[in-house]
Amino acid sequence: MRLALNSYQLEVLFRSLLAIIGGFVFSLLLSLLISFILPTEKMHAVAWSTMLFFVVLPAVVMWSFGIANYKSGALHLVLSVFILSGLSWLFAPVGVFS
Amino acid sequence: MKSAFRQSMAWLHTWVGLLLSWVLFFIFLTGTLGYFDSELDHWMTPETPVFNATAEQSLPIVNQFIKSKTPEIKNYSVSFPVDRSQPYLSISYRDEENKRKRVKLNPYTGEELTPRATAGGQTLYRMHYRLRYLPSRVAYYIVGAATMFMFLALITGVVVHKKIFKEFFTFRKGKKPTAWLDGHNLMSVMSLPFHFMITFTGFLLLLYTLMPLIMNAHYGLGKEGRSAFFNEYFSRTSVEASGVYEAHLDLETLLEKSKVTMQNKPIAWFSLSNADDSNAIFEVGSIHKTLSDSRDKWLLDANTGELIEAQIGQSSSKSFYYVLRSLHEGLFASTPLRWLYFLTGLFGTAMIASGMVLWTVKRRSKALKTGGGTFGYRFTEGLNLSCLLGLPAGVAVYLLANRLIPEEMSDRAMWEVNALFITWGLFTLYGVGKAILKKADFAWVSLTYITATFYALVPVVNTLTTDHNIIFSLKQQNWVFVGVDLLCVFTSFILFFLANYLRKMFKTESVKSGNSNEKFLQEEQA
Repeated sequence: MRLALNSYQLEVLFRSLLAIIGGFVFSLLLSLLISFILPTEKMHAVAWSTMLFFVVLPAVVMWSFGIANYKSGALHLVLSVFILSGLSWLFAPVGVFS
Repeated sequence: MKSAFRQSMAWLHTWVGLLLSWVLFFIFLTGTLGYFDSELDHWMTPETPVFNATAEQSLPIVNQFIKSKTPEIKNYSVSFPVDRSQPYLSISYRDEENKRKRVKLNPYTGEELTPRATAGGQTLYRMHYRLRYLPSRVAYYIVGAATMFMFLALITGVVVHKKIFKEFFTFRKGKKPTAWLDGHNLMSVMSLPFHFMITFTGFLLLLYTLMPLIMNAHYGLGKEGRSAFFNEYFSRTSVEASGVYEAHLDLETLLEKSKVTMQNKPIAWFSLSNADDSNAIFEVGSIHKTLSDSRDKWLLDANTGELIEAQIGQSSSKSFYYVLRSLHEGLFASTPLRWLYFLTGLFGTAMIASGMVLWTVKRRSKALKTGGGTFGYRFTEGLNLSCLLGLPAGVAVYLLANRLIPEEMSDRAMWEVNALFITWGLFTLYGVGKAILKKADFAWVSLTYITATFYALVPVVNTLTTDHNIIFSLKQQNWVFVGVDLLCVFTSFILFFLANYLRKMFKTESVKSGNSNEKFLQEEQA
């Protein structure tokens, strides 16, 4: 069995990591941010955004496998993760705007 | 651009569909059978009849049972046989050693029912999210991942279809793999809303186990955060006993009072906590009949009979959550709707099965040309066939084991389940072994015959070991027993037909591919 991966296998591996790790972090941060800013009771905000997580995640997974250039896609995802964590930090109950 | 996107989605559909298809097939088949869990419970305990008695009719027996207990029990709950999921009177309480106990009673005579120990329909149904032989947390994560794969396969499946409506009416018979593809499409599109609903609501049932982090961010980490959230969200209130003695109203009066507050809805269950204490609470609920009443209950002060709180209907995210949960569980469904649930569930199972077959069929001609295909191809075909046949065979053996395992055997219920998995395991060993040796065709045919035989045996063994033969069941109008017998015979017929069809198909194919194999060999030599 050869251990070196060809370029197709490498791309599949990279896109899968992007989908699983990137998708998880992105969906979590987006749902978290929404749970902070939803203008409802805290418990309902938690429930809505937890349910939302399971809609965002498959969308990101499909995006990771659908984009033409996965390298620039990964860059965009990392950027948006930074923006989302910044916003979450601003809106968190212990954050700046509370 | 658009077609490139569709192509990558087709790729994703293929691999996401295949990777966990074995788990998904298991989840869908056992879950579908679970829509008849109570009926299977009844079939698997043929010695106890099904009772039907209202709360008023069963109350004398409840009183008699409570009074017979020394020391008195202070906390107990009672379910009345008014619904399909409750075929006898049952009372749950804690005994002297504070252990949970549940007795099943004849609601007219008070006689305790002791049917054979059986895993029953409940275990079969519970396996579809709890799996078996695994710690529950691991099982939940596997099922959660499988659900996500299913969800992705569904969305990408829709994206891939340019002409979803037109293809729904397309069936190109005989031309493999197009016949398989059209069959797969038919199974998927025919009950697509059901597939989406059942998959997404599957997440909701394990919601805070699969994604606890948002809850943790607001309510704190670990068990404490979880219970803080759950207490608030699910309004879990437990009232401690005060230690001050106060006699509670008798059960007749409490039931009458609750009937008035519940506007004459039939009483399905009640529970009494802290009896003979100033903080005694009486909770009561009705039958689950619509999508939104799954958690309805009424709280009364057991000493005065006054209504403390009516928890009926839900608001905001809770109503959304509970309606979707009820849709998944289908507990509210009447008999015709239950059959529809069962049928669409079977379509879903068939969708997964045809998808698995499609994966190999598409690679088959190439494999035949190269003298049997790669190891990965053969291994996958072996796993596919042993899963598609092994699990249904296992279910038949599960039913057979219920009749054949001696009643006095210890851990009887556990061995019923083991019988299912041993059958599946043997099928897997045989199927994968044969497929690796390039004899998958033979394994397909022989295992289909064996599975058909198992299903044919179920009514026979049932007739020999119980007095519920089909004529008796028809006379008694016991539709559960009639239904199981007929369904097993029907399944067996279909499987025999399928086995014959496969045998003929492989024969003609091997004649053709024999030629191409020779050609291939000649090319190799040249």
